[in-house]
Amino acid sequence: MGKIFLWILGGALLATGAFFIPEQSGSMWPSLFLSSSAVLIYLAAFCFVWLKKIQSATKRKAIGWTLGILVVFSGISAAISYESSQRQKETLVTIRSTIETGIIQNYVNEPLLKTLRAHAQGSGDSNDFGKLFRAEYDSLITEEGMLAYDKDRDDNTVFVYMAKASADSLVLIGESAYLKGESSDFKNHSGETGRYQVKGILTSGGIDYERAN
Amino acid sequence: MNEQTKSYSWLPWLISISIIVLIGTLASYYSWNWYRYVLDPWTAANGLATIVAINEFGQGIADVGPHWEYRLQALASLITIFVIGPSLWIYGELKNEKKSADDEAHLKKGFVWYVGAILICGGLVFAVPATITKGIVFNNTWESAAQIPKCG
Repeated sequence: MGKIFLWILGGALLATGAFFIPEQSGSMWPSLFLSSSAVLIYLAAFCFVWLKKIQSATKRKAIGWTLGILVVFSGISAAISYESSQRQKETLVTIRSTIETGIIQNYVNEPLLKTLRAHAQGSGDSNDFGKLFRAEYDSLITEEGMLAYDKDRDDNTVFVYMAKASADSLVLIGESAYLKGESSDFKNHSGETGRYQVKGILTSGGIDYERAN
Repeated sequence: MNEQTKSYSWLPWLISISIIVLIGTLASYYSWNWYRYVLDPWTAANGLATIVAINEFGQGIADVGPHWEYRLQALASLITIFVIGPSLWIYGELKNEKKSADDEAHLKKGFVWYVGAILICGGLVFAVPATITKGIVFNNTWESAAQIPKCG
């Protein structure tokens, strides 16, 4: 009986040792894959040593088949779970990216549309886009030229900057701290690099919206 | 082995399967989540992956916390199903073979055999029917997702 407990202890230590080889942060799949390999080695060694002690060939075959089915189906189960978790992560990132681009587009478009409407209605300094914009949004513009929509939120990832507000044009820049841009070397308006950035331009010809990175 | 004993040789397996089914039913009724974590290491890994993905979704940065409860559950499950279960079962079979001269004793498999057999039965329940169900659900979920028109 003591011998079997030594085997079990050895198998448990082997599995635990293998499990803790990868860094214990974020996903645990690397740890689980290494540990699974270790328990498979243990199982093969255990069967090699102990199974041949069983005299009945039928029993040996039955045990072998049962453990084989357990290992094969567990492997399939692990593969499905792994693939499922990977796809789930990708889907959530896609959803968040879609939401983020929608928010940026909305944050950039809204001031431009309001300014264009004021211009079309002929209110105030209707020929000066800069003045029309400032009349509505001056209280939100910070010293850095940012439109402080969510300045009180710590987890805010969308930033809108006023790049230009002259009489003939208004340029707003939308930037995301969450989304990566097309080029990792791109210098963003905020001074950061590689972020997703869009530009909304209002002129007398209408609103133009383009992706900068 | 006389005919009567031979006809009841499946009884210890029936008892082991019944115990697993009983524990499973109680676990389902009382929502004991530990039951699933003990017998399926991949559930804990998937659970942690979901937490990491949701945190990344919400905060925009990958969660690098260790989340020890999930890691230790998965490790314990792996050791239970692939080390303790098979070892005790094979050892129990070997011990029973030595005392098989007595036909009546053949039915009394012993504590070690029952622990091993119950763990093997539990492992097989999660390895075979649960994997087939998981595969069907996985296929249906991603097939449905592929049919949803993409935005943008």
